[in-house]
Amino acid sequence: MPTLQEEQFFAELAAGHSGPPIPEAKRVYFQTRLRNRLFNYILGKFVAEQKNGLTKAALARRIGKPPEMINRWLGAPSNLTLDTVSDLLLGICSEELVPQSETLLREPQQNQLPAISIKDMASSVTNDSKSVSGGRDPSATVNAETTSGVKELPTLSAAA
Amino acid sequence: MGQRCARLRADLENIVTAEHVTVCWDPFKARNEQIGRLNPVQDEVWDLRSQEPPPGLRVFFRFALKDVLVALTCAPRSVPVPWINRLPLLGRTSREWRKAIIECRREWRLLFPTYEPIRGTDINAYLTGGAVLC
Repeated sequence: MPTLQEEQFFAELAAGHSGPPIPEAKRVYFQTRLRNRLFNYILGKFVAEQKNGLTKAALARRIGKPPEMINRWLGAPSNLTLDTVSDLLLGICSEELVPQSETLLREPQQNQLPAISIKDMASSVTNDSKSVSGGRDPSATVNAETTSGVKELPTLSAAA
Repeated sequence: MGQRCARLRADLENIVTAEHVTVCWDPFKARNEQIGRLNPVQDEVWDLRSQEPPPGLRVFFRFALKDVLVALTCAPRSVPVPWINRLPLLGRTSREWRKAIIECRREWRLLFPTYEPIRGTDINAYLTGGAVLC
């Protein structure tokens, strides 16, 4: 279940094509995230090829650029353009980028236990205590709602 | 300001989640790495470049644990900015740099009175995937 903060963050995106304009700051956040990801990808390729003997000087020679330009490109994400990404991938590992994207709206939640796990844990704890006192009751049902209507962790209630 | 915060948030997230991050391990030898260890190294203060949109800033942080950084203060790099009440850092041995490091340590002490930042002999002690490119 998304947190309130996450719901607000994705509100404009979730609203669909007729939704409100996506705020500039939010677009800038995702622009930066994309640039960082591309940079990480290329840096990973370079670090891997370093183990096979690739140096910045060799890379510079291979793609016909001055070494200081390679230093700049491999130093920080802000120096990348689509053309430099292409040059670097060709020079580092003879590869090209294959575009692929994924929806943000179904991004798995991080740093948060899924609700089902919490339910399972609660059930498991209750079942364990039942086992001690005489075994699991197969007719146990999950009751997730209190009389006040507020959802709580599920409790087991054995049918009479 | 909104753009600045958005970029900075993405950059800070990137430092702790990326598979590789470029690091300047030796103070005063930075070219354009993403983060750098500052002089004196025993202070365990690091900085992150925030260059876009101009003017550039430096964000000062310390590592609480491996892959856990606590960003504490920031300062304009070369040009004053109206919304930060600090002089630009300017040259690498300037008084403002020293003040910035002391201030970062002071902020840490306020937050963590008895807890020291981690120390290490190489970048792997601080970051998973830190890359010191030669």
